[in-house]
Amino acid sequence: MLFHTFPFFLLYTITAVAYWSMKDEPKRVWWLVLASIVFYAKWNPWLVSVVLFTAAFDFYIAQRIEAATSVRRRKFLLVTSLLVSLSLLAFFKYTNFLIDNGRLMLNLFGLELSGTTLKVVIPLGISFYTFETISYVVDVYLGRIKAERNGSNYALFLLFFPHLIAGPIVRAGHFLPQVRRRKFLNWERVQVGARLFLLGLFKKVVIADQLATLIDPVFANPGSWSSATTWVAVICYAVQIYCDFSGYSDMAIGAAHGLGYHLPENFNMPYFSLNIAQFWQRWHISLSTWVRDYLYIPLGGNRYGTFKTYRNLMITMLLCGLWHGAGWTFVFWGFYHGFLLAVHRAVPWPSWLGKKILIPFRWATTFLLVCIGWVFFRAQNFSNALMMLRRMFIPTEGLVLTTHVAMLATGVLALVFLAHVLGAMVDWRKLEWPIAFPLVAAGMVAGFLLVQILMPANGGAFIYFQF
Amino acid sequence: MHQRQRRSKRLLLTVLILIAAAQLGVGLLLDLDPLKVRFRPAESIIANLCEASRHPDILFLGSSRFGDGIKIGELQKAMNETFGKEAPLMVNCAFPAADPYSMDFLLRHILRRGITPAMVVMEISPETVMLGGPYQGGQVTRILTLKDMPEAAADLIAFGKLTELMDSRLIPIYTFRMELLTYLFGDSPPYLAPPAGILSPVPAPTAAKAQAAALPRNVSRVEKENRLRLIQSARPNVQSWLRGFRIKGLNVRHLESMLAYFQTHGIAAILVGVPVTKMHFECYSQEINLKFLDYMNTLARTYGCRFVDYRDRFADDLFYDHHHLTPEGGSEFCQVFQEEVLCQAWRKGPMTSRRTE
Repeated sequence: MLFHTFPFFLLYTITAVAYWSMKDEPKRVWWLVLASIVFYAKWNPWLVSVVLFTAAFDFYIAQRIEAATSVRRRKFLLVTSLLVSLSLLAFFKYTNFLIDNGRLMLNLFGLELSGTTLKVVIPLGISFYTFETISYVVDVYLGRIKAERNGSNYALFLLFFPHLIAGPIVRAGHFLPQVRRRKFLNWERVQVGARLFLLGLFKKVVIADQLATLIDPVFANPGSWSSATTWVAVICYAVQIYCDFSGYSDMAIGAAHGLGYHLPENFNMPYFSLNIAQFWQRWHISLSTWVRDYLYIPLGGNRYGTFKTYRNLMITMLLCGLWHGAGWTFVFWGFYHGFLLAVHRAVPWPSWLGKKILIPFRWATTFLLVCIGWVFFRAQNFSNALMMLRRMFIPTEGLVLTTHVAMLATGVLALVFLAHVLGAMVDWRKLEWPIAFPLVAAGMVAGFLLVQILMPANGGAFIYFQF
Repeated sequence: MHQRQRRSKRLLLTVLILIAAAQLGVGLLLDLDPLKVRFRPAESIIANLCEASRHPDILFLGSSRFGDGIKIGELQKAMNETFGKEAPLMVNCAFPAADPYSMDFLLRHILRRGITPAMVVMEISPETVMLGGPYQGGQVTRILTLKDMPEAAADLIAFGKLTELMDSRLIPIYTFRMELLTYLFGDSPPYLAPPAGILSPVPAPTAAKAQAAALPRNVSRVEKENRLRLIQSARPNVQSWLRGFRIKGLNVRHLESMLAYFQTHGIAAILVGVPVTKMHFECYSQEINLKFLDYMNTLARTYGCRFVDYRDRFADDLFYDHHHLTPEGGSEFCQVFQEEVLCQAWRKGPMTSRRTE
């Protein structure tokens, strides 16, 4: 069930109305768990059992960890939990990747492996909820939080439908206290949530989905397009993926607000980053902080010398790439970002680079480097990615955009740039009260109607659903 | 704090009311004239009829099956050769996903403009006289207005079209966005291809169609196999159309109302069991076939119309999918239909009565 479809609006409205009319907090929690199961089951009723199994297993293990007295037993339980969670993730997401690569390896030695790839349906959001449950068990193990004793509370932490499919990746320490707290209907919060949801819808439908019509043909057949068109497509993809994913996050955060929950911010104008390290502090924040806290720091972070710091950085980013998708292009994308982060760390940048006048130049450079990474992220395979890069950097003739598509791209890119500039100058969420009431209402209505008019025919699934 | 709460509540309520009002308003505006925005193919058919120097004598009403199968140029030429000056003027009014409900809608609009044919040739098949039928969802988008609800709603809900019905009434701006944008800008926007399965149950594969058009009848074995595979792959689809086959509902009511009108106004009517592939025909079980033929006989007796069955008359290699004839198949069908039915029907019916007048 996609956030921007009529069935979701219906489910959300019914859920929210019934939720706020209930007086009893535990009943409300059960109600939200039920709504989340319905939300997930609408896509695949059988795979709900996988999510429920993960939830039940780690709920039990965390309590055992807390009750265990010996360090050895605690460690054993932690490793068991991690093994189960990661095995499920590996089975559903990486089995075919491993089979394909195993077959390639055997071919190198002249051996033929018969059989085809498995038909595995990847449970939606498995990468997201696996990370959530891992962080919970690790936090209990490290004593950062107490193990949750209430099954429904824990189920809601993992299943809460606004963040279930594509994040933001929530931490138990942030979410569980909210579940336990008594909540009151706050119209101001509902209104903020509605505006955030609308903003997300706008980003998704008006920007991301419109750009897809331009981008998809170029990435599908990269050898046919001119250098200029390839550049436009790559830049547009950078904008598309940002609007698609941050749009989803905005909708998730907005939907959660309407039910009295707060989800963490996931994006903070990432394309106005001064360097690649800052980009990762602003892009998919919930993932980047997760890999920092549960991968980079446990590996040693920057505490054990220069070599190990770079090693940890590379491992973290390679795994981050692999997390996004079972493909070598994703692994390379992770490697590329690890390399950029390492270079950023290694080079003693001159102090004059910090001058204000150079800020736009630094934004542009970071954006350009990120765009090159997106080529690998989006391309169907390495040869396509390399072909696109060749066309980007060696002027080549080829198909060009029609005037109306070029106008669409320019308009959309200008809109996103303007929004970034505005966002960098003011916090738009605080702008609300000085603006006249009718203007806010008219803006919301116009935005909603525009979204409806521009909704693509196939519903336009979110890019991050595949991860 | 309280003031901010009140203001937020008021803002949300205002937004909700305005959105609901906009949806309702647009829905009612669209209802005023469905042809203008929602059912453009019908509007262009009517416009062409009105612009013609002479009103047609024979109208062909049908879906894309008739659209592909009736080669009106060839048929007209053959009739001209046979009847000379007395040859009828024929127009093919086929449009995608037509069924008796939508044909009746189009016909009423044609008659309202003073165009009265002497003969109507209508496409018919078991799936277009059954309760629901594959094209019914599309009619919700194209035809249904608020005032049709009392008649149509129960049937559509019974056939599982509640979602389409609710979408079209509650969120018309979203539901009819493609029609609205096409009306406003003259062309459908690139991000809105017609939703598959609504207006055309199996979207006509344009590539296959183009290829089929270029293929002679003696196609290679591989090409034949490919086409056969395409035809066979549609079996579950056809079977799902025919599930719970019952002759009743909107289509039947509108078919009979048209036939009754033809009878009262002296318009000759021919119902043509439209050619389909062997696979498609096999999906009409014995029970379905019996019910269908029995119903056709009843119609012929009651309304004085004629039923001719061409459903299993043509070889599979004359189709580019399971129910659309290739250009070559269309020519063959027209030739047979003209020789066996049309000439005779024209001679005995309208032509004679004209002479008498």
